[in-house]
Amino acid sequence: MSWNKTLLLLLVMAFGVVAQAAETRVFKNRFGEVKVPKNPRCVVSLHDFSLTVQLMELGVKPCGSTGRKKLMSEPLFRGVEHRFDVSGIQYVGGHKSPDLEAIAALKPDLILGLSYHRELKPILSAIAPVVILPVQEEGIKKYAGQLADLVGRRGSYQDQLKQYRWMLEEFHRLVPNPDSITVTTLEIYEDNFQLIGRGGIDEAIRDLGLGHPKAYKKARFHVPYSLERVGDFDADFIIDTYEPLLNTRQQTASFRESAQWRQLFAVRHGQFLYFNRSRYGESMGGLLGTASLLLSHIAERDRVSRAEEIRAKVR
Amino acid sequence: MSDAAELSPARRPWLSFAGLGLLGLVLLFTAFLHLGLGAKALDWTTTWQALSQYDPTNLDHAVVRDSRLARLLVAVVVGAALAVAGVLIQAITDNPLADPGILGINGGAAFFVVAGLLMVPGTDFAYLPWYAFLGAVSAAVIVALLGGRAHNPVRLTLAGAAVAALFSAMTATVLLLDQQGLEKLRHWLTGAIGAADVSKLLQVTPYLVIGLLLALSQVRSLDAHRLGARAAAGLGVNILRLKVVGLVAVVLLSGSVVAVAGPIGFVGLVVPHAVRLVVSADYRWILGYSVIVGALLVVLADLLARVAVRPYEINTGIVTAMIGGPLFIALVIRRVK
Amino acid sequence: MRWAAPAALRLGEFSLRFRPLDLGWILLTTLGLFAAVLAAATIGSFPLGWQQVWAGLWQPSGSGEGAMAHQVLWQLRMPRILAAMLVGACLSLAGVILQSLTRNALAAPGLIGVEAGGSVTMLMSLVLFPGLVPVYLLPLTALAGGLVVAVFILMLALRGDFSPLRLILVGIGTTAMLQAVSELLLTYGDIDRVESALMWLGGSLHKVTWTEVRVLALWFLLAGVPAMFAFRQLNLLQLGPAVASSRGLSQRRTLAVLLLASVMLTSSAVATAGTMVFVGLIGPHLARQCCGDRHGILLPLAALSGALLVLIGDTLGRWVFAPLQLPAGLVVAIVGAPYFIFLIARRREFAN
Repeated sequence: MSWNKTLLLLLVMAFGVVAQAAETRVFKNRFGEVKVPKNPRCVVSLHDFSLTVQLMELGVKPCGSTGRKKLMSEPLFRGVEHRFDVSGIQYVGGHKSPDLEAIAALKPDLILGLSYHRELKPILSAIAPVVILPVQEEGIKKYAGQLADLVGRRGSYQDQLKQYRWMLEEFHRLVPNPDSITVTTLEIYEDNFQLIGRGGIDEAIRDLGLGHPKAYKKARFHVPYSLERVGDFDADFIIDTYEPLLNTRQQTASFRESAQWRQLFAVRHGQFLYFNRSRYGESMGGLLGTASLLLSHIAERDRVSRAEEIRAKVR
Repeated sequence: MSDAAELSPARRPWLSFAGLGLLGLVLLFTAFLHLGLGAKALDWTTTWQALSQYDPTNLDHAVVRDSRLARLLVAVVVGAALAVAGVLIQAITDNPLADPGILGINGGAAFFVVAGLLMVPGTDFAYLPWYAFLGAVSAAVIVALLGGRAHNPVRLTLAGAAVAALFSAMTATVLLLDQQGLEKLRHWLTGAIGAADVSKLLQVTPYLVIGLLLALSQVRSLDAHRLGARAAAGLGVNILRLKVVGLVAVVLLSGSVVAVAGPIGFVGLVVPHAVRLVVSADYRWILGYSVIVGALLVVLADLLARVAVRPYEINTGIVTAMIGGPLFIALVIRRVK
Repeated sequence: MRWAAPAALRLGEFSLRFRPLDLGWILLTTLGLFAAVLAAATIGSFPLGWQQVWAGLWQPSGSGEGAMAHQVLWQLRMPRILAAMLVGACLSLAGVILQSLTRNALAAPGLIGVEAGGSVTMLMSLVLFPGLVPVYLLPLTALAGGLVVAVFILMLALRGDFSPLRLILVGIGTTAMLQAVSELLLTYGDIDRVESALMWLGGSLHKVTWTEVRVLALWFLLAGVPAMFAFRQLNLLQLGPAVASSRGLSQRRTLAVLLLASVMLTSSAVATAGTMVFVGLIGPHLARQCCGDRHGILLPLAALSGALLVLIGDTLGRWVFAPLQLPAGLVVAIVGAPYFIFLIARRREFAN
């Protein structure tokens, strides 16, 4: 080997190492452009119930994540803990006010957040590139796609998506006209309720093309409704979720004993579904899990229709 | 304070009776409104039928019976208890601006309840009134110490505001350290009256009854105390006993209310002043009127809370603060020169 | 004792009487503050030793291994330390002014509703119209709220004769009412926003960057520095309305100008950090313990002690339960309030 060739080889190798260490690209979404590493080594997630779950599903263990802390107990990564091995994920504080220095101490090369983390972006950018993902704005499928793109796991994401699409098709094969089945998702608390289906429930219902009662279509979300109004949202299926950590099932038990509740169509016909709220996060796994729950609880069983009952009464 | 002396019940007891009866009727009427109005629109005949000929299969009847009647009951008891507590605390501190909320007593009770719920494992509702009493007593003692021995209402009020701020800071800290608890408690913390509270109400009833009896036992001493501490001592009233018993009653009443419905402010401030517009001399009458007027005020506030932003509901404690705040300011402008 | 004889410093038309002991207090507080800054710069979840901090302070930029340490020091800790000191100084000065105007040692911006007013308008823009007001304009919304409340309270208090007591009591009523509005906004906001609002209501510096430091410094220069030169007027007002007007002091105008300064200081602090009820109460009180009511010394000393207070509170808040972060205002309240309660219980004549 001549000197020239050796030198050239060394040069190429040197450049290769340098290029790999600093290999970046520009990532773009509705929140702007960010220069990100091509192969992030240590990712910090600022939201356990969505980003951390989805990262784990894609096979990427974040080096740090925010979580929920209960006084005098270990921090909890909600929606993650019971599905994945979380050892090695550093707890970096609550999702609204994470410990910025604890994040810096991990020396991450990518930080992921939701839209409300934009206010922290100027400071966090001093530590590592910060990408805001549109979890609340564009839904699970879109943000999960962007996330997979960021961490180089497009293949795993495509597999998840494929499985989800099959479930939708399967549902539609069994239920040719899904919009004739009305569904209401809600969370009942001691003195009020909200119309909300977390962990992919609402998005899966939308994707399945299920219908909603009239009042639901006109309703506002993220506001507490009086329990008196539960009757207005009566539907073929009512889906509520409980939070085992907060003991909500026992706390609201008396309401489920009340005449108001027991006279609902969905309750009378055993079409009230009560799921664990933290079983799935806001992730593709959440969509898949919910879709499979809905497949078995709605499509693959006998069901009665409220509209038909009303029609029968009128006759 | 004696501008209504001509209506003093000692001279015209029939007038006071008539007034009390009239207020009772107003309360009944408001209570009926409370049952008839709400997030769900019901017509009056349905409401009436739900009371007179209850049909368990009728969904509207269920709304009236299950949720509104229970809530009405809670509102009535909460209002009456807070009003009596207000009368007592204004009398024993000799301070027209006193109120369990303004003096930090509600805040102390709320902090102990929150801390107890989140920090002591295995806490269920049976313990909560005791946490509330403990908190109320601590706050009351601190404020009393701060208030000083000299009679100085302004200093007492300011000290109360500082103690209330301290306890609210501590409550916020505990909630930030326990984010799971935040979701659960934020509703309760602003003073929420709800149908589900009826079962809790049953559990605190003994404390409420004791508090009320203690208040009634001090009626004569209170009457004498009104003439001034020295005059009362001259009439053979044990001032210290009056203050201690009065404070225990205040703690029992407002602590129970906090345990059931969260910290609800300003009722204890507003009601005694409203009552004094009509009766002024005899504490038997003042307490009797306060029970009715307090219940009326909270039922009204709860009604507003339920219909103001229909079909949503806001917390009753927020409404009482919005009503009570301006009244407090008006009082200050009239009274404090 | 000759060394304790009052000396006088002439500065144009201002004359400042001070005792050597006062200078001692100022020096001591400054030293304490300096020590606290160094301590705060070394404390945190990111491990940084004394030597690294000291070396880092004199380096314009870091490279290689030390790059992250440099970023943590200059982008996370320094802005936060400076903002904490400025917020503390602003609130404490605002408190001194308010207390002297009302001649009541318990009058603090947090207790009479100025902070609550700022917080309501801020929460409104955060919860009701998220995204409507750009982030850099948010401080102005707090400012608007604080001003409205201050003017409202002043107008009510000024009906007829000016009454300091009425001002404070009206303020307490207003605070309670505005808190109800805040609570309404909090309860009906989204839980995501609620938690950040809770941080904000507790008085937190977790979002501070150099921009906030610059804004705070600007407001401090605009309102705080001139206020420190108003010690003569404050001294006169302290003596009561009769003496003040006999010395040719236009009471209403002085009152209005000083109140405006106090509100500006409070609002700028509230806009950056949220509400901190106890700083405006304890900061001035600590200073008064040292030098009494002589405002020439009291004002700078209060600014220093307020700065020290918030800096300590913030440092403890981000360190004690790390990685959980507690707002500085809550720490100040919890550490400071018992001390305050102890003092007030001891001093019977307080607030009389």
